[in-house]
Amino acid sequence: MGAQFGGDDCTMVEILFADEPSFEAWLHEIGSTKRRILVPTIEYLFQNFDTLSTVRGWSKPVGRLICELRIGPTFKHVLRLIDVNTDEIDKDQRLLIRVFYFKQKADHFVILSAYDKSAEVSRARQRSEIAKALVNYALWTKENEVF
Amino acid sequence: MSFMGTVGKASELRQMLERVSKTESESERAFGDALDAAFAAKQQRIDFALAVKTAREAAGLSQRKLAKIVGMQQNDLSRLEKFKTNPTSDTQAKLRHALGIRVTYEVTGILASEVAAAAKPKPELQKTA
Repeated sequence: MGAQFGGDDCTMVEILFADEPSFEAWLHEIGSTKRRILVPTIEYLFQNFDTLSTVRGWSKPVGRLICELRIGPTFKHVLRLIDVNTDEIDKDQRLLIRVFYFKQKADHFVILSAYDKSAEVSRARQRSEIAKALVNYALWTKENEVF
Repeated sequence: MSFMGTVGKASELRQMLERVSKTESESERAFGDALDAAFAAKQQRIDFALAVKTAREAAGLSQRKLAKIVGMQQNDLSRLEKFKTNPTSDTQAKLRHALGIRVTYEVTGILASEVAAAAKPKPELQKTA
């Protein structure tokens, strides 16, 4: 499932979900502020993934199969990504979100799962979240053609 | 608001955001709108710059030659193609006319203060030192 976005003369990017109900439930759970920051950030990072080297710096491979978007570590950091002058913002706010995904083909990104790392920074939690993402990857590749 | 001038169907992610944001307050929605506008402004700048660069190269024009045609400095054109400047509406019009490109770019004037104002207060996020 998914839909395209982008202007007439832009490369169209499609965002798909390996487990849409779980991702939607998580998006609800993290609260308004974080999801309002997260959604345009994900769109922006995927839309410009092949164009801007700064954007690629926000992604890191996790093993051989999947990658993670590393959104944060603060709100100002996200704003600087889009050249917003943050001098007028007095206090910064912590934001540590990880979104696991893989690039199915040039303009298709599949979101596997995500978690709020600021809630628990432990390695055990990280391993558990990566394992969950890998399960979703396995399920997706079993049911869909991967290019 | 729509993202990057999309007309018609919203993306699945946007539809999802709408579903889970039904109970948001006005200030929470305002915060989201301010952020969306800031992202859209940057995206428009990128899209316009890419369109200029692509059309210029397709036409076989150097930056120096195109700059001369539209009456701007080559250095300014170079900065524009690297998303580092906001072209004036006059410059945009000249470039669109010279290159025959369709991408429109509007200087939306997103100020950090607008985002900052909309961002307060946000108790959901942990404050850093």
